[in-house]
Amino acid sequence: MRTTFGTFNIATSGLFASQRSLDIVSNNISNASTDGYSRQRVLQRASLPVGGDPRGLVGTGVEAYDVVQIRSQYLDNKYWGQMKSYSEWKTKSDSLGEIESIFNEPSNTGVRKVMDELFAGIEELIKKPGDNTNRVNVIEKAVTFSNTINSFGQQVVSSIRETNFVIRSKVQEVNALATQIKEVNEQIFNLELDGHKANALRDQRNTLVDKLSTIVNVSVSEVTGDNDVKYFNVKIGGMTLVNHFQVNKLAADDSIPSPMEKYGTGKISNVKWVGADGTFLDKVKIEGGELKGLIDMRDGDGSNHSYRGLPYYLNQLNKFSQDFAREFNIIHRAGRGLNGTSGVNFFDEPVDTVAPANPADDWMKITCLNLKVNGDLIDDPKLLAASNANNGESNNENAKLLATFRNKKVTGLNGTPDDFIKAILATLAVDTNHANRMTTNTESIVEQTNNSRLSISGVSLDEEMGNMVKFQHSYNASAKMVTTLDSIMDTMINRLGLVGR
Amino acid sequence: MMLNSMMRNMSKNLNRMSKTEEMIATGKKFSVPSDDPIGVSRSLRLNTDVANMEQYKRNTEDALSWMETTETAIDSLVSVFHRARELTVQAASETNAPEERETIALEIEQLKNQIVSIGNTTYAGSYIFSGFKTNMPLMKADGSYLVQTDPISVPAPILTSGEAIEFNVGISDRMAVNILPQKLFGVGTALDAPIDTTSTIDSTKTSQLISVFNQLITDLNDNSTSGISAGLARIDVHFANINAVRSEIGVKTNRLELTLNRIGSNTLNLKDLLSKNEDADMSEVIMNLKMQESVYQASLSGGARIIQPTLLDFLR
Repeated sequence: MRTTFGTFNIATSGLFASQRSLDIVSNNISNASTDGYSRQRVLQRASLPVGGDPRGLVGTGVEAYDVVQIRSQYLDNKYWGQMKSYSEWKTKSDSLGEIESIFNEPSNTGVRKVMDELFAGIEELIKKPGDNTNRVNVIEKAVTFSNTINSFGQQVVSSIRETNFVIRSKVQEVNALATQIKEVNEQIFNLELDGHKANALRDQRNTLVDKLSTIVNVSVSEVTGDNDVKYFNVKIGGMTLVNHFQVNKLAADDSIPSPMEKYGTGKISNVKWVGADGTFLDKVKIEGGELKGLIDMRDGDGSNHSYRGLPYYLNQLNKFSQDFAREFNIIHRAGRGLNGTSGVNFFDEPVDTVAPANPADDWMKITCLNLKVNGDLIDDPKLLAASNANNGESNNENAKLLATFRNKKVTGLNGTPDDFIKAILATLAVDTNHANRMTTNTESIVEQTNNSRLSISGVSLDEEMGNMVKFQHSYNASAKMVTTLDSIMDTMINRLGLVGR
Repeated sequence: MMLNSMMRNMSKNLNRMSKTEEMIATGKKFSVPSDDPIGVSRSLRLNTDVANMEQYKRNTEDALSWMETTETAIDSLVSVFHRARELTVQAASETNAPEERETIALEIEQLKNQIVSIGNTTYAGSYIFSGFKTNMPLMKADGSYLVQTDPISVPAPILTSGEAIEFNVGISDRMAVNILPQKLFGVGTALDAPIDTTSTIDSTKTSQLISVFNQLITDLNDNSTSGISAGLARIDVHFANINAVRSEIGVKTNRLELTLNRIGSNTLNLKDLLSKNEDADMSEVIMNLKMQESVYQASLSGGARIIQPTLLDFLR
């Protein structure tokens, strides 16, 4: 026997379900341009029919039983994996671009130009070595040359210092993001105890992981434990950063001395895991992200297949300064000044004070930062050794040797001084070119994955509009059902049974 | 999503355009090494080569003007010899009275002084015949050598025949610009011996040329006809020597002029290479810019079409 008002219930369930769907459509439209928002859907099903009727089962309407977000975990993981390469190469490309601007070639102020001018000065000296103007000119040009190298060195050193600072702040950022992920984990856990998805919070968590994946390589997993409880884990290089409600923090450890510190870069920080009591544990295995890019640039000296970062360029400049000054000095010491003095260094060689002192090794102490023209020479240009004997002001034999130094193959420099500078620049150019290309490539890969992600999770206004019309009509139809039932009831209650009156 | 790729493509278009625009503004194909690693390193080498060529050009020009000064000095030496020969021929004649020969001796004395002043010729403040000692005159007023160095701390200042001042006129191409005094004036007092052009000069030595003149003056004053005739022969020997030196300078000047020409065409070639290497081909770049502009505009209008219509426009 069917109930009189049962049909009302069926119609009302339709009204409710449509209303609920409209709520979600409205929410989707409102969040159409929210970062990290994934579109949501109402899940509905026909409610169970009441049994026991021999004429067949009649349904009892519809029920909206859940709201889910449309999201592909696979694409999310893919995006996080690709993001680390993109941000790593982006960082490298930016940093290398900076070195390019330090070297400032091709231009009229780069090292090539100052070297040209130094040797042009020596050519003038050859023509009239007795002329004080020519001597002062050579010395001044050499001062410009050494100042240019000094300023390159200083800029590279300050780049290292700044990169180290950025690494420290990135470590803090990772810690902050990890803490936030943990907090969101707690909220999600509490909200999902009743089995429903905390969609907004999950979106928020994904956005946090998005940010984290630009900084460092992360692997993310969501494990379902007992009683369907979901545990969300974030790992860096196999070590746990966030495990559900627990956070392991990273810290910058300044205690390990670095070979770069003697150039004035300040303490170099190593990124390490830190225990609850503040003790430093293992090094973090950083394989990607901005941190990888920054660390490669800060520490990469090109040895053992490591990346050619800032220290590589600093070392190359040091090598150039050392070997250039050394060979130039050897020629210069053999010559004689205008007053007959010989054995004077052209470039300053810092005295080796560490016992046993070995004056022959003084040149090894020259760096691109302390390369400078011997002060005695600046005070007394007569000391400039243009001649090889004390037999007249126009003896230019040694000046001629100094001039040929430019085309001399120096063993330490693998060729002429020009070749060495060109080799540094070519390496820099090829590396920067490579980094730029990798940035573009990885960017388009990331972009593609992001697009697929958006095509699944993003809100399409057309679709929402279509749904809106659909749900509006189904609401209208259900309402019409109620009206129809109403009129049936009216007939049944008010018009029937009037015969007996 | 469509919007995203559109924005990305659009910004790519803009990037390309800004790169092309930069090429137009600077006129160069590249502005940082990574734009063209090989091009930049070639450009560095070519720039250095051009700078070197310009330096060699300056050096060659300086060498040339040094040579010209030397040539002028030797020219005046030649006229001195012409006059000296004329006078000696005149004096050799037996018809000359002793007084006449004494007058001629006075003029020869003057010519000798002129030789001393030619020996002390300067170019831009340098004594050109003094070897390395360009800040010191070559001869004393009496024609004996005056060799000193500055400072005069060296025990015995000498002027060797190795004191050639060389200029770089090309890569490993050097040219001695000075004529050593030995070659021109000879060393010693020997009158008839072959001219000593190689011995080391110190302040005790005299020029052979001056010695010949001194002897001639003595013979004139002594009215010795045979002496005068011998003097004439000696003058001819030195005259031939001076002419040989003069032609040597001519040869060197010729070579320097050829070098200058070669440097000129080298510089031109190098600059041409440099320009091919780093200068942007304007017509091509402008064509590219135009093309990128139209692509950009097309993508803009295409983008506008993508964004515009939604179902929203068709709903009441």
